[in-house]
Amino acid sequence: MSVMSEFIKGIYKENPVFRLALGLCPVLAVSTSISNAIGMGAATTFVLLSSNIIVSLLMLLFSKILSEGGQKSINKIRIPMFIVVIASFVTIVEMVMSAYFPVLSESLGIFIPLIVVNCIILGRAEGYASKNPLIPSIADAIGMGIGFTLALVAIAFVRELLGSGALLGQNIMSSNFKPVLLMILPPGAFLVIGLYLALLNWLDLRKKES
Amino acid sequence: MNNIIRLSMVLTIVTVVAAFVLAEIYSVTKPQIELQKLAKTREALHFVLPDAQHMSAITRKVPVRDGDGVTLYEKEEIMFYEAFSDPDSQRLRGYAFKAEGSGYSSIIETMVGIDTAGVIQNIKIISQKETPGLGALAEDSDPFTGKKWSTQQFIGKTINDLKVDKDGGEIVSITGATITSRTITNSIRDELKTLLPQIAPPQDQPVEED
Amino acid sequence: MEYGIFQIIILSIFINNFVLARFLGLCPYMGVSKQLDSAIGMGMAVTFVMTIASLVTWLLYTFFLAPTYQNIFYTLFSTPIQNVPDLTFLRTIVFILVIASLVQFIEMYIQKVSPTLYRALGIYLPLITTNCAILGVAVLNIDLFFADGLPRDSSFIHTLVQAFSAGIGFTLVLVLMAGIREKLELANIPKPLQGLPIAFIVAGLMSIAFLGFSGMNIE
Repeated sequence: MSVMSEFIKGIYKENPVFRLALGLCPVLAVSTSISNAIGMGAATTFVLLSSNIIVSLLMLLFSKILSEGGQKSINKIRIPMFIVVIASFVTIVEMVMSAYFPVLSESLGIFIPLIVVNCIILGRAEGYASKNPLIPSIADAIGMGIGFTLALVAIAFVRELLGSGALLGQNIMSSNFKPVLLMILPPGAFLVIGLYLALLNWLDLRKKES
Repeated sequence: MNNIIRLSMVLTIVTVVAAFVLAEIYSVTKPQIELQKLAKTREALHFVLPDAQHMSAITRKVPVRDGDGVTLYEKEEIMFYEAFSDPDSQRLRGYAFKAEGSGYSSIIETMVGIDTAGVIQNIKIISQKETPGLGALAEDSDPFTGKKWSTQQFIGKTINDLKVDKDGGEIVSITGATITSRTITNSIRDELKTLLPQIAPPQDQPVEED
Repeated sequence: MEYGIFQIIILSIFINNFVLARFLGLCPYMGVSKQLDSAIGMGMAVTFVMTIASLVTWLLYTFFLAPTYQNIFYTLFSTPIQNVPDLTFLRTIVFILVIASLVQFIEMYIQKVSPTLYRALGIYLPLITTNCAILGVAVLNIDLFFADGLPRDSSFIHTLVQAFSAGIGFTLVLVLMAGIREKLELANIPKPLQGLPIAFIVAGLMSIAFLGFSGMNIE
C-alpha cells in the first residue's frame, strides 16, 4: 500500500511541475508538440529511475560496509557523487537518442544535456532515494517521472492544438482554422502554464470553501 | 587531511567507473550516429536532385594550421557533389552543395541542388536547432494559410533572386522568424557566389583541382 | 556567414533572451524576482559565474576533450592528431562538475577577498549550481562556436561575449520582472491568480514584447 502511495503522490498531490514548480525550463521549452513532450518525459523518467536505483543501492552499500564515522564522512561528498551518477545517465540518454532517435534528439536540442540540472532529479535522489530502500525509491521515481510527463503533455496538448491545429502531428482542426501562432512561440508556454496553475489554485480554493 | 584524501579517492573512483561505462557505450553508439548522419546526407541529396542516377563528391584538401600558421596536416573537405543523370557519369545533371549560416539560435545547414546553369532545383534543411516551433517551421511545408512559407519557393530561383521579402526580395519569410528565413536564404546565396565560378561549364569535363 | 561580436551581444540580450526566448534560468527568474535588490544581486552573481564558467569550460573542451590541435595529448605528448582521443562525449559530466566546484571556489574566494561583495552575492551563489542557464550557456558555446569538434574563427572571444551578454540579458529581465512584481503586490489580483500564476502571465507578456526584437535586421 505504501509503495502504491509513493507512486501515486507524484502524479497529482506532489506533481513536480504543477505543485512543486520544479524543472520548469524543459517543460516550457519542449512543450511545443506532444511528441516532443513524450520524448522529454521518457528521457527524464529514465534518468530519474536509474539514478534513484543507483543512489539507493550506493547508500545501502555504504551503510553495510562503512563504520558510522565512515558514513558520516561519505555524507560530505554525497552531492557530487549523485551529480556524477545523474550526469552519466544523462550522457547515456544523449548518445542513445542521437544514435537511434535522431529526429527527437535534434528537436529537444540542448535540453537533453540540461536534464542533468533538472531540480527534480537531484531533488529526488538527495531527498528521497538516499534515505529510502530500493523498492519505494523505484516507485517514487516512476511516479514523479509520470507526473512530470503528464504535466508536459497537458501543456503540449493545448499548445499544439491551438498553435498548429494538430495533435501528435496529425491535423485535426477544420481547414479554415487559423493556428494561433503565439501558442507555439515562447509567450504561449508562459501563458499556458500560468493559466494551468491558476486553474489548480481555483480548484483548491473551491474545495476548501465547500 | 587523511580524510580528505580518502574522500577524493572515493569520488575519483566513482567518476572513473562512470567514464569507462560511458566510453563503452560511446563506442557502440558512435558508428550508429555516423551512419545516421550519412543516411541523412544521402536522403537530402536524393531529395534535392531526385532524377540523378549517380553522384560523386568533389573534395579539396584544406590545410589545418596551428596558432602560428604552420600547416599541421591536410583535411579532405567536400566542396560539392556532381550529379549525373545516367549511372556511368556521362551526362552532367547538376550540382548539390551544403550551405551553412548562423540563424536565430543555431547553425542552420541546408542541402541545395542546382542544375548546370545554376538554377535551384530544390533545397532541404538538414540541421537546425532553432527555437522549437518557431524557426522549426522552416522544415514544414505550408504551415500557414495566406502567407505560405515553404522550401519549395526556392525552386527555379537563381542567385539574383535570393533575398527575403523584408530585404526587398522574392522569398517570403516565415511569420515571426525573419532571422531564420534570412539565414537560409543568405547562406545559400553566399555559397552559390563562391561556388559558381568554380563550376566548369558543362561542355568541358569538370576537372577540379585546388 | 557568421555573426560578429556586436550581433552576438544583441542576439543574446534581446532577440534570444535566455529567459524569455530560450527558457533557461527560469527557477531563479521566478524565485528571486520578488524584490528589486535581490534581483540585482542574483543577476550580477549569474553574469559573473556564467562568464567564468564559459571561460573554464571552453578551455577544458579545447585542451582536453575535443581532438583539436591545442589538445594536450597533441601538444605535450605529440600524439598524431588523428590518434588524439575524442572525449567530447564526457562534455556533460565534466561541465557540470566544473560548474559545481567553480561555484564553491568562487564563493570561498569572494568571502576571503571582499566581504562586501560576499554580502551582496553570497546567498545567491549556492543557488547557481542548479541554475540551468549556466550549463546551458556552456553547452551553447560549444554548439555554436565549434564545428565538428574544431573551434570556429574567434571562438574564444565569441564564447566570452556570448556568456557575458547572456548574463546581462538575464539580469535585465530579472530586474524588469522584479519591478513589475513589486507593483503587483499592491494590486488587487483575483485569488486563484495570486503568486506564481500571475508571475507566469506577466512573463508571457514580457516575452511577447521581446518577440518584437526578432524582426530586427542585425546584419
